[in-house]
Amino acid sequence: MSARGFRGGVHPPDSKEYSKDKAIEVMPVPERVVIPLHQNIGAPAQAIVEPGAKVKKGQIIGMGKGFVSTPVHASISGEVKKVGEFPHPSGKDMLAIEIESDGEDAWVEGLEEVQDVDSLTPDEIRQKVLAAGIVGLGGATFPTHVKLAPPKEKKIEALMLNGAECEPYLTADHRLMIEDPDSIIKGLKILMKALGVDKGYIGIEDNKPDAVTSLMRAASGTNIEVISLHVKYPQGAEKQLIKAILNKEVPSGGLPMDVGVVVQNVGTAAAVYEAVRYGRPLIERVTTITGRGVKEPKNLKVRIGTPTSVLIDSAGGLTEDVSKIIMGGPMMGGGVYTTEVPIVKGTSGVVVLKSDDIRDRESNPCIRCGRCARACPMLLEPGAMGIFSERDMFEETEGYFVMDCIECGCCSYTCPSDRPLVHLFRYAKAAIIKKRQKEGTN
Amino acid sequence: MIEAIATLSGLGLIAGLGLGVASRVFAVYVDPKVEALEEALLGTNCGACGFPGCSGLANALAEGEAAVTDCLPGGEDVANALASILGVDADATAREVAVVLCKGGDIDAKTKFDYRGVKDCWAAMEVGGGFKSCGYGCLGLGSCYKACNFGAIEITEDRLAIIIPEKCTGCTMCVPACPKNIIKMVPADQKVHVLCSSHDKGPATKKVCSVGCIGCTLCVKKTTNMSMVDNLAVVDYSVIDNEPSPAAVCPTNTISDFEEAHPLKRFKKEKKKKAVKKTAKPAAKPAAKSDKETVAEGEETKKTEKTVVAKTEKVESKTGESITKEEKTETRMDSAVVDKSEKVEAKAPKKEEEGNKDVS
Repeated sequence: MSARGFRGGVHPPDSKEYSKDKAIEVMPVPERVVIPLHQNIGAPAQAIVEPGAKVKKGQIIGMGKGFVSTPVHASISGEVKKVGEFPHPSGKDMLAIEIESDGEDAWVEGLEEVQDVDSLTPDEIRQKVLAAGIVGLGGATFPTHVKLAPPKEKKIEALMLNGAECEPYLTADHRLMIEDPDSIIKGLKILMKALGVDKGYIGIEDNKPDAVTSLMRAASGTNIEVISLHVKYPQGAEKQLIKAILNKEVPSGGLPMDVGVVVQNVGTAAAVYEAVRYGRPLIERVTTITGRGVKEPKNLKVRIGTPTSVLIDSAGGLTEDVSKIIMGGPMMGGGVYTTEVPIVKGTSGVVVLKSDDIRDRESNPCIRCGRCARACPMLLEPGAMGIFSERDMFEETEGYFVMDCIECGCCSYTCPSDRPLVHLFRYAKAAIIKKRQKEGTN
Repeated sequence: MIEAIATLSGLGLIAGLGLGVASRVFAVYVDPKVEALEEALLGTNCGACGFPGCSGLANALAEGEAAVTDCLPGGEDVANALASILGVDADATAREVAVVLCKGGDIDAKTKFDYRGVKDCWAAMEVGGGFKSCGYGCLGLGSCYKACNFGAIEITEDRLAIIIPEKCTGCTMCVPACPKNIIKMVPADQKVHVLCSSHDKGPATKKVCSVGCIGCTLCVKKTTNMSMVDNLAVVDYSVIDNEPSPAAVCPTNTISDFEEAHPLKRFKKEKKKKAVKKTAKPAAKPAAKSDKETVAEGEETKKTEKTVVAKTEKVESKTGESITKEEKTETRMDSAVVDKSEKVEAKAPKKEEEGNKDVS
């Protein structure tokens, strides 16, 4: 099968060698977890337990409020210690529930197993996915049940699983595809049924030939096509994935649904299978702890809410001269300032960097070299947008379609002047959204 | 020769006549009142009145759609001038000035991490809600400074916005420019202010800032014009009598008397301790340092600084691959790592001065 791609993008060194051959290890149950209530795009959940309450693994401790919201479950059994503000990967302190383990690790009663998954109706599947609190595990944490309920007028023709894992360093999806391809394929079938589509695709970058083989084997005899893609960042961004696989372009301001496609992460598909088949809520995920800053990079199956410090310990601790800890991949992830930050549903990896991994330079004026425009996978002009937003000229920035920016970071990556382009765009986007809200209310 | 002169004179005459006629026929009537009003206004077009520039306000005044006190920067003088043109009475309104209700620059207040992003408070808010440990603290990246048309705002070297009362015209443009919403308008004749906006409980405030209001209520007990609102002391500006001065009883120096110490002096009189420290080269290159710290907790505080320095240079020379990839991240998130601002603080002075201060 020939490899396909999209226009733009960059080729950062993939640095996956640290952890790509390490089998997924199940991490011991942590002594305490801090489970943030805000773990999805949209409205945060609301706590429904009080300090002192005994909870079991899988018990709902936070209820979603509104359609674009998901419940949050206890990931260990034990006692609720505190409901309050804790450090969150976003950098702010946010409401979270602290649970201290009782060591039993007992499942909550009443998890419903379904032997014959094929007998479920699409609505039942959506219900189960919502009840399990499943969100997009690739990092964006968009609630999965929302993606499974497209508006009527949008005809969905294909479901795509994203196994590109284009972020450097991360290997969690890679390992999952090698070790548990059956769950992924079964999950994909369930998702296809929920959406009523016949055609499924799995896109994988061709630096993971073992994952391609593994999934092809698992998918043989079905209408699921495993496609190997060019190695290029951001191949795993959904709009780029659609372009590469189906050669369709999502319109400006639109969603994949507008071209009849729904994209999910491979990890999400596996979680959907667990939820629908065994009734198990999303309380753990595979995440990569890697980088030259830890002694033994590895792939771990961790409980949601485990503090990063525990992960670092289980990876042999920090090496010397550690400079930065990033939740997610180095391209799109965010730095954290304390290792108390818990692993959340969207944490695809923890990358620990040494100081000489980092180029830290002052930002300089734009020299109009055009590298950013060549690198932009959304075909925007980052240089011009950066200059405008730097001067608070937000209308002009908007005119250059800054709202279509996916914040992949390719522009900042290629910029020879080290301009903080993505930051400028986020700044401009926030200002534009604020302005729109103001106009909306007036 | 004569022909030429005649032709030109003729042309001149015709053109002159034409212009003369046009100026009569197409004359636009300008209300002399509007002209007079515009004359009386400041002409800075600051926009504080909400009309498009000074001429916009002049028109609105002539139409009766604005009040003579609408020119905030003009204050009483302008209001009176406008009132006399319009033949109305100027309701005397007390002049107000803006005050940044935060006193914690980098010397006094802790930072969560080292910020290296876009130099703008709103942009900084996009990164983890700002780098100050205190959720109410001034970020000092100058969003209000940019909004001020009168040069009344200064940003200190340790990143704190200070409004110079003498220069402030009370136009209020800086108030919405602050993402933390800590700029407030206060009566210009009142000099005692609580320079803190934190509603956190005392211990929480104390942990992150040495000049924050800890809600001890001493000022409420010992003076006449103070009250507590949600863990924060508040001055009741309607009470003129403030003896003894609340500034004198405040144990944290949060309450400042501008009469005793001009804000620009960084309230020197009140604070004898920590005088300088960082001042020399403020944020030199806190950048690099902070990354360092992530490291677990207590360990290496000292180690850090050395490494940092070394690091920065190294990095630069290198073009290799491993490096490149991550700068990305920083640009993007900038939030970098790091934790303990104390370390940051301690370190700062040592850092070489190369970096521009804004780095941080």
